Amino acid sequence: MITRSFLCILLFVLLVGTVSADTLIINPTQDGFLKREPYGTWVNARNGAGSDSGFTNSYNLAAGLRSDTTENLWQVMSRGAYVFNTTLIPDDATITSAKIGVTGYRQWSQIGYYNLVFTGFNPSNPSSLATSDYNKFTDTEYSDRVNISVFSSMDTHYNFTLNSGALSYINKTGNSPFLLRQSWDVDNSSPVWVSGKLEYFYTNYNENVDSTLRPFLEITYTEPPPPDTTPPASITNLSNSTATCQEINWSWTNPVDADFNHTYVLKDNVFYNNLSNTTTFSLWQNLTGGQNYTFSSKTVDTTGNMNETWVNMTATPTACGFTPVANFIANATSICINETVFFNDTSTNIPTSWYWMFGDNTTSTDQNLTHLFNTTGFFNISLKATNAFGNDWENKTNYIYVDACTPPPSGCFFVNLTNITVDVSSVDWEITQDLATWGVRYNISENWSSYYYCILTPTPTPIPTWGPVINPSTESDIRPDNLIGYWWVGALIVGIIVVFRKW
Amino acid sequence: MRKLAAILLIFCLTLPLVFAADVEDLLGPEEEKEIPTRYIYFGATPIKDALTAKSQAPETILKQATDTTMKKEEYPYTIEKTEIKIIKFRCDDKMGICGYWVEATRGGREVQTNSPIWISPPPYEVVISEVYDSKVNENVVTIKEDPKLAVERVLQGYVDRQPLGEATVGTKE
Repeated sequence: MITRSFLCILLFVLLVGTVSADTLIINPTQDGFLKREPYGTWVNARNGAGSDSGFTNSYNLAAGLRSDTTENLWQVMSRGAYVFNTTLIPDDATITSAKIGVTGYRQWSQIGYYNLVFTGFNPSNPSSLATSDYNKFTDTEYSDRVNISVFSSMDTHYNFTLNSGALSYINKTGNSPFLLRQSWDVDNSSPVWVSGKLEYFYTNYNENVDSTLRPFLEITYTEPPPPDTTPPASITNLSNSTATCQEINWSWTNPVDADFNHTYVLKDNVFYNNLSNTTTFSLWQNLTGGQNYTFSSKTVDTTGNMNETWVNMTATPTACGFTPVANFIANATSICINETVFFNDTSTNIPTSWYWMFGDNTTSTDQNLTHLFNTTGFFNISLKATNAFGNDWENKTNYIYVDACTPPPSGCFFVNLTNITVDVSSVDWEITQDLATWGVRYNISENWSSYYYCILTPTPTPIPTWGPVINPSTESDIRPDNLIGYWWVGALIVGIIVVFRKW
Repeated sequence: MRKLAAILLIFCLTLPLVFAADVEDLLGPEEEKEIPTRYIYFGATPIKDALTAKSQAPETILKQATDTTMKKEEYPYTIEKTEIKIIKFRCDDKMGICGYWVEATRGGREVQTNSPIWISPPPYEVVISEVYDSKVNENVVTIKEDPKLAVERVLQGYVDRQPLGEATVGTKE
């Protein structure tokens, strides 16, 4: 803050300190002297109506007083009137100082030293002073008071510095009339009465042929600087942060131009905002993660000048989200060797990459895939699902069983208590019975871990067909060790076989 | 007797002095009387003639006369016998005045001028002599039309009134 304030002050000083001024020297367009002869007291002499007032250039201008010779009355009060055409001052100018210069001399010098001063004047028609204007003045002092003693040379201008009130009084669109008077006259303090004395102060009037001796109004003024057509510099150090999902925080450094006003910003080539000259960042929110966004800017000054150079930058915000939860399913979990299983990714929270392990030293990075198992056994299946926010493993133990699937014998039979035909060439036969069906099964693995099961379909003409490979885990009720309770059935069958063979 | 004679002598000798001292009072406050002035022009007076003829507005006549005269100079130039240098000038048709860009020093030190210095109305006359003719009790003033010299005198008066300091130049050319 301190640094900013310091810079502002420095810029102000630099600007103001280099303000330049013009000078205008104006000679009056009208001048004359205002003369009164009220005869009477000092107050009457000052304020009363005169009988011999007039404006004429036949005399030098005067600002004086005299006392009557015989009647011991104040007589004749003269004042110098000056009208300056101040329309030449530009309307947008600021008057910084002014002075009125007059050349003159003091005549008679009998009443004593006193001061002269300029006051306001309101003639009816400044372009043509008339005798009726004699009482149209004010006592407002518009200059310093100058002692009459300084007027010792007719060839030298003596300057009355105008005060701040006068600077406001000067009319930039018309005339500025001033009146030169004695300070006695202004503050209504009677001079020491000296019977029969004269005191006149003469000045050169405007019609003096020597222009260097004419009265003048000298004005110093400043004008607004010419229209600024120079745009401010561009912003610098444009950068962005996408640390927060779906947001971009742009930041930059503003130009140091004193008249820099705002930054014109586009968002993807569409107007976004005008940012103030103190703004150095812009937070864009609720964006789409992974999509490009372009910040484009131009700078503009207080008068509307735009720097046509674009300052652009593109950034991509991250998406907001969660770590995946990995999962999958398979279209079959028990297959024969060299068969395939289709694995379907069912992970949630939008993973973006996958890593499969199939337990047979093979892997894959596909999302969904078909895998061929060419070895038998149980296989652990694992899936790692990953996205921008993390990863997750799903491990399924012994998820896939791959069997050698040895082909069954050539015939299938069924058990019929009245007409039994059984191929007993294989030692792997076993008569079984579940709760609903009599049948036999053919062992295709060790310990009856898997087997074919010959079932009797309950049709009008029973046809023995080979059923599917039975998984002991699901068919435990017909495993041999569960058939002990049916020993008598076995014995019966064996007996029947023996009988048939003997028969 | 000798004493009386001395007193009378002193009285007689001082009487004129007394009269001399009181003459103003005795005469009383006289009406202000100006010595008549007669103006004589030296050389041609085309500007005065044009103003008299009123063929154009006075400010136009004076501006054109000044413009024509000042254009004959090669800028910058130093006003003779001064430390004032006129850098350039420009007349404004709309305002009917001319402005001057000056640089000035006083005793070698910079004068705080505020250029341009516009002069209204453009001066064109200068008094080249002023003689009192006691025989006819009148002032005889000889005038010459010389816009360049008139401008230079006004600028000189301006510079003389300015304090020492850094000069400034207005923003509008």
